[in-house]
Amino acid sequence: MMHFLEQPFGWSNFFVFLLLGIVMLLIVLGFVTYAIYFERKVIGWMQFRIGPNRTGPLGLLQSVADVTKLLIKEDTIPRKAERQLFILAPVITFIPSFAAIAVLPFASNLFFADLDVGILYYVALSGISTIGIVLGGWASNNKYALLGGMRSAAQMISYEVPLVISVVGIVMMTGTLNLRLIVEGQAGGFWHWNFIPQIIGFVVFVIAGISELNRTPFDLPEAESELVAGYHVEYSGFRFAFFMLAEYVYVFAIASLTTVLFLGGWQSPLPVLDFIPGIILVPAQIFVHRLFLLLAARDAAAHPDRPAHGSRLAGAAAARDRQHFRQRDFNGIGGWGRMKGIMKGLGVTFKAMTAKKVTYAYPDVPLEMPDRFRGIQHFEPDKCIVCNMCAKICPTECITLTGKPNPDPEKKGKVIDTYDINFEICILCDLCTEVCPTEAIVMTNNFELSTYSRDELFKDMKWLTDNNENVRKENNSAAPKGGAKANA
Amino acid sequence: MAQLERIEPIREQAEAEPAAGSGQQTFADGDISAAYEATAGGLLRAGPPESGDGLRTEELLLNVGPQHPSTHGVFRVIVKLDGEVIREAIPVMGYLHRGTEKLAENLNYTQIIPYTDRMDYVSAMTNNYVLVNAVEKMLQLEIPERAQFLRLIVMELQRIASHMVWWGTYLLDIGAMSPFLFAFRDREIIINLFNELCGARLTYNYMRVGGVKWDAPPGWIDKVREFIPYMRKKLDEYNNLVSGNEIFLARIQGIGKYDAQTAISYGLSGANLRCTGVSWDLRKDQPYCIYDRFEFDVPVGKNGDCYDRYLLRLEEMRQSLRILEQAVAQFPDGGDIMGKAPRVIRPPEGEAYAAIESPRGEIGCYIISRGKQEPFRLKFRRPSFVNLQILPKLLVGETMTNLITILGGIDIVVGEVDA
Ligand code: SF4
Ligand code: SF4
Repeated sequence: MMHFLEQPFGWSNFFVFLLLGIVMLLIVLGFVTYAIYFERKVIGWMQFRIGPNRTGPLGLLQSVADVTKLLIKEDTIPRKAERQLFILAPVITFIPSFAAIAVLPFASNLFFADLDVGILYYVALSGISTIGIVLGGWASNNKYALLGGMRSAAQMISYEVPLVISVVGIVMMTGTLNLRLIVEGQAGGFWHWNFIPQIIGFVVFVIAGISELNRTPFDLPEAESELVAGYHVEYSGFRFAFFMLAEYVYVFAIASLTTVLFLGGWQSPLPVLDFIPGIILVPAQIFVHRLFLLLAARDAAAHPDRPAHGSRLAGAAAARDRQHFRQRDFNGIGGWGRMKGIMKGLGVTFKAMTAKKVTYAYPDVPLEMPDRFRGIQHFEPDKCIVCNMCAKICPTECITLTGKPNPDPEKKGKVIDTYDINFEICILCDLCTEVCPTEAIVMTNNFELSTYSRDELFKDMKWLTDNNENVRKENNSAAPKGGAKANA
Repeated sequence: MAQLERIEPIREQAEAEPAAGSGQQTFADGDISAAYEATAGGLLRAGPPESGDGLRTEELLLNVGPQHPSTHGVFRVIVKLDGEVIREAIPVMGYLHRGTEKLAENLNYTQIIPYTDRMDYVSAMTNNYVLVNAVEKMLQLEIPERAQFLRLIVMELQRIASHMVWWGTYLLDIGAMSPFLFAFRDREIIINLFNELCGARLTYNYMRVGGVKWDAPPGWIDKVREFIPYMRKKLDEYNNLVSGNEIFLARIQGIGKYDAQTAISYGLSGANLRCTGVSWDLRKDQPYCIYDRFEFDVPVGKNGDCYDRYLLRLEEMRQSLRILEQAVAQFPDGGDIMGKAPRVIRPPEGEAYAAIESPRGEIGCYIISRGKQEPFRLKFRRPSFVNLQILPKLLVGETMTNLITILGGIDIVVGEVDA
């Protein structure tokens, strides 16, 4: 790579870099796709679910399907939105995220740029993305989006500073801002890696990094439960996809950056492992780190997150609100001693990962309902004596029935002529079956009643008669015993 | 009534010096914001705050809801924001109004029962009970022992299930996703028990005037018995999972605070009242059903903040388990599940009010009968609705983030707020 970089700029190295750029884009896209898949699987496991499992084997194509869906979805732009800015915002967010990857060295001879101000380049570019977010929030002409965008700006100001300062130690130790040289300085086993002398910097970097990524618990700009979706609430289709993509590319970038700065880059952890080419080590490290990001940041802390003090810290930056932030809240973070509760919670979630999954494989395996289950009624015309009790008791008046004189002249009384239940309004309350003296109308255990039109929910006698599977055995169990007269 | 005496002095005090919210004032043309201005003691409309740096600031009017993930249904709050700080909040309700009380005037008493299911749909059993209890009071019915036990057991199971829904969704609001699934996994057990008992998972329509509709199927009581130790273990797990989490504590401790006086003058009940230290639980203080036969404690808080309400609800689940344990142990072997109720229910002319402790507070049912099959007038005292009234007062001066914390802490069910 060095050799291409040193050549004067010409067609040949332009094509090489173009090609490599495309390869890199594909790698990143692949990473994003499976990072999302992996994340959803792990969250699923932590919550006794199995996660995506329908699209492709083991649900492996789930993210692919999602992305395809996003790409072919209708692209809506609110009429009152600031059109140009609205379109520009996702681009401004995405491009720097991808461009920032250029300075990351992946192996001693695989990198796209050898900048002597590598760290500064990264920090500067990643800051631009925030502008995209703020722009998006502003241009949407939506108050939630605006709040989300503003929070994002406040958060960046709050956490960008610690992020940069945490790296200063390394820069001072190695005397360079060049990421490749920083990695080279860490050769010779893991005890030479930067995270040991720079342990505080490392911890701060990881925390500030998570915040940079807007991941839980620092997802203030999105804040699903309060701001609905924050800055991208008005975005749909591929514009939304760009925001998501940028977010995940940053996950990739921060994971790589941590590896490069603190965890020895492509240097093998033990000298005996030197034979493993760095090109394998780096992705492995990124993977491990990514796992950590995922576990520690997102789901593990998928316990109460988005700390108020986070929001307040962010707000604190928005100087105006300063008076509302109390010192107490800053004590929330700081020191492992104050993390005991979180650790305990983490323990529970990890245990949950091995617990029995409770997901039903519903349409594939039918659900068994207990006998008393109140499903769709079955009607037995022969038993009905047209007493009209069911229609009278029905609280929503969804039964209509008519009788006709008994065709057999020998017998008295009426027989049922029509019997309809309107399942648009039937609340399956069970009262009709309770009052029916002859059990002509009974419940079944069937409950699947979806149709494409409301009219089809109007079921007639034939349909109700044919609905004769899984009929409930016990029907009017608690008919009042009578006895005491009403206020006789 | 011993408990009542305990809060009587506080009540008198509250009357002597009305809290900010209880002043009697009339408003000429129903100007809502004028009303709010006065009721919250001039805290509202403080005007744009002075910012030291001479920047001009403007307030932002934001509609939270009716379609908002954290308002638990279709509930809307109009908030006036100054930056992230709420200056004024006006709740708007009625999006889920179905006219239950009016509908009931044209329905006979058995037909009303399924409608009560749909008020507080998270706790349908207690709603069933309050209606049939009011009717039974009028008819002066004798309820068979077995039916009483069944009612008590389902009501306590329901309380646990309801608090679990609250626990899960509250934490979901605060941003934690897993507890929701933890809670729903365990709630599923209760729901399945109900499904076996009465054939429905949410709207049970289980109780009848004079008793209950279904007897416990064979083995059902044993399943309840097995559930108790299981749930105890799970409650510990819940505690480990969340209660100690520092981020969580930072978010809810000291948030949404009020004192006993305020709580009483706003007519709060349930955990919203007990968190201020007032011990008031209708199961103890005005025993209904057969609660007087069982031993249980009424946990009270002392700070009156969201964290106390959180702890109280967890503790209430534990106490419910205690009641359940005693109830399944004493469960009668046989007997009727329906008393001698008339086939056609026509309560004598008169009025009756029955109130019970629902998971959300005091739910009451007031019936005026003219001796017909249908009530002349039916009125529900819906705890969610009453408890919600304190919201505008609590929100002033809080951040947007805390709006969710406070609203969730009150524990409303919009079906019940709007009826
Ligand atoms: S189940 Fe209830 S609502 Fe449905 S038809 Fe029967 S009585 Fe009417
Ligand atoms: S109550 Fe039974 S017998 Fe009477 S009309 Fe209805 S279905 Fe027929």
